[in-house]
Amino acid sequence: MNTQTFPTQQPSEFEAERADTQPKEPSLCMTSPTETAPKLSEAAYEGLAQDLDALREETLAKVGQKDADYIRRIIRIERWSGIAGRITMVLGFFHPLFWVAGVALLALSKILNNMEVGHNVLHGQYDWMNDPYINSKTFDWNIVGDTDSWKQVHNYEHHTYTNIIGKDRDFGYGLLRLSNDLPWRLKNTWQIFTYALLSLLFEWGVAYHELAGDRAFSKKTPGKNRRPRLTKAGIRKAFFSKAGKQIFKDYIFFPIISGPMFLPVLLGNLLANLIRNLWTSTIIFCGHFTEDIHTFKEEDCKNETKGQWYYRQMLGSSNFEGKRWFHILSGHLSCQIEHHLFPDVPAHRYLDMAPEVRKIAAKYGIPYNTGRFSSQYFTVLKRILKYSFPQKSPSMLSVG
Amino acid sequence: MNTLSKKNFSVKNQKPKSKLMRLLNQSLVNNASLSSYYEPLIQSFIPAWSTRKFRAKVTNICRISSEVITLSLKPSGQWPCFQAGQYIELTVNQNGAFVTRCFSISSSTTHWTKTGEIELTVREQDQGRITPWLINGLKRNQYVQISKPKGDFIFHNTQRDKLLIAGGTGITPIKSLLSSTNKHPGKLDLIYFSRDTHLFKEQLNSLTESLDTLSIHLINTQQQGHLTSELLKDLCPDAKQRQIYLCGPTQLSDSATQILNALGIPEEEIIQEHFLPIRKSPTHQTALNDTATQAQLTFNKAGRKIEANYRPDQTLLEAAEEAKLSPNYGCRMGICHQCKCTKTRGVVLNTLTGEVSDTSEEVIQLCISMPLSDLEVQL
Repeated sequence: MNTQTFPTQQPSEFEAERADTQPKEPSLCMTSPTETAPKLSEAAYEGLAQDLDALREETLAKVGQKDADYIRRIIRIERWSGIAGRITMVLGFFHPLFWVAGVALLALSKILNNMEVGHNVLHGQYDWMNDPYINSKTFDWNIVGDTDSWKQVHNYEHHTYTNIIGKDRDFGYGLLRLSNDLPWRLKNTWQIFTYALLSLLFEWGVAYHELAGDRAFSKKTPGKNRRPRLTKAGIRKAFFSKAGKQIFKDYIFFPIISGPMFLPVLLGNLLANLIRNLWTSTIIFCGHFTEDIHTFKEEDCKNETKGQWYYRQMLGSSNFEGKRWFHILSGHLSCQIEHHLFPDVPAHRYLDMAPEVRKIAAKYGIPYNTGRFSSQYFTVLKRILKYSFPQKSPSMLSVG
Repeated sequence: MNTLSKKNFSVKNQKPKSKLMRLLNQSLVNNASLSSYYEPLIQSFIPAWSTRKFRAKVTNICRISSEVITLSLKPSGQWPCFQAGQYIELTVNQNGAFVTRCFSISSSTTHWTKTGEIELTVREQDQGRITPWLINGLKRNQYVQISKPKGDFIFHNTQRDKLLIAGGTGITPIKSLLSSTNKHPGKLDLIYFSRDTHLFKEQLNSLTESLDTLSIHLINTQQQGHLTSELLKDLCPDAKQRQIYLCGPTQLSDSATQILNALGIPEEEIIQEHFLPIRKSPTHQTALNDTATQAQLTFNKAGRKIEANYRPDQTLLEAAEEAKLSPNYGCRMGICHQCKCTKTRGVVLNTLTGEVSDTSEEVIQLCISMPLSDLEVQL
């Protein structure tokens, strides 16, 4: 018996009221990918939910010591490489190659911390371990974004309302036009540069995400469909508190204790942060903004069943292939489809689940979006460029 | 025996951290304390090392009856000395997950000074999650984690006459108390109920030689029945003047408290150690039916304790919302983990998986949890 209530079945009063009073933004172009998505029969949705639930249960039954050992091992690598990186960078005093190695180690540590550890632990994937430090409530990551803020916009908003235009602010981050669901504006013309800048400063984008949605720095009311978690002052405080700590660490404390190496260490830390930003941004864009990704309209997702929710997750995400180390460094977001279907299953299990998910997708005729990393990334760039311009005819750039 | 702890997990060194240190740790290592940052690093060399608990080595596992084992543990050097009658929280790593249970120490303080070891005596609970595992899964020379000794089930004044009432494995703290006491000028009577063989029968009998004020009454409940006021009058006519030490299953402790209260013995004269309520793990459907019974919910929010009544078919999230506690929430379908809270006491049902939770402290999702017992939740 399932006593779940789905969010779209019973929206909170606040949400219902907002949805009614706010006019829908008109779609500029009538042919959006939304309409090309194949619809399944009711029985098929039911079957899809059953098959995926069974796979989830089967996988969770295997979760145990191996997973605990795995995440602790990654945490150890993350911490040792961080310590080694900071020390080696200072040794750059003797030879610049040390500095280069230090930057690489620190970047590696930050990437592991954010992707395989932070992202996954904050999803609650390891909460079953009952470890006082490795759980979604207390874990903090090495990035300027506040964890509570991220859990709200990512775990709740993005994972519940994946690719629903107007509800999932991750789709374009309020900066990029990535589908015809949004009207074209002049600033979209140069959005490939906006994208490049966003990638470089990605951690700041993540940190600022909730504040932008809740309009924390202006007197305006929060964006439509929003149920602010805190007062504006509250989210601003959390933002400055976390960002301040990260700035203190990377640009004040470690440079100062490095004495004569002040400037190289400061620059090295900056570079490590930028490498991490580029990496995470690239991985995430490959997960949601590849060519064949579908978007959804709010009204289509009212009264959604679990099967329909699963279906939307599959159409809204894309995978890419690669070596094992590549998957680990991506936090297994290379299996974005599996991650969106099972966000709280330990991520290193996704690789084993993927062939099963693919079989289930084939069974119901649902597209399963995967490919080589390079080709997936290429379609991301194509997509950003394609929607930089208003589209009078859908075949203007012969994409999609 | 298992004891029900009302406190949260113990902290090894409860030195309050200055605000500056905390800020510094949060900035430099993204952890509220430096120790939680280096804990996994130290664990690469010392298995089961913990910043919050003490390490203890399992030196022996010895079966003393068909369903009872004695576990010998050698705590690490920093572990503080215990007082006879106290309990510890034992945390074991069971297939990757930490599980905690409270057990009274059954060995004496003299045994500890001599060997540096303590003993726990554990009865296997058929439906339990941990006791069968302790018996089959725990290996000699393995490390477990223990808390500092806790509890107030100790002899405060040896001059006073005492009546000790034990049931089943509830004998464990009393065995520790008696075998740690060399001299007890006040009278000591032990009434010990058991449905089959009495644990520690020989050791207890030999204690009567060194403790001349001690008399022991062994009662087999299958032949002689449970505690009644007549039995009490028979065995200990001056019970009214005595300090009472009571430890046994809920049934015994309830009936004994009633009888003693009826005799006019005030609550503060009855020192009790509680058993853990034993729960059978029900099937999903029976569990759902079980939730219909009235459960008392206690929410702790910002240092306040709020009692709430539970209505059948409500999730904990709904119950907390009804109590106007405005808990944090998100998807309401168990995927986003925004409503996660720490349950400090009680058993919940996961409505998504049908899984029944453990009795000890655990993080739960409010939106997919229904109570199966009285609960205490930290919002």
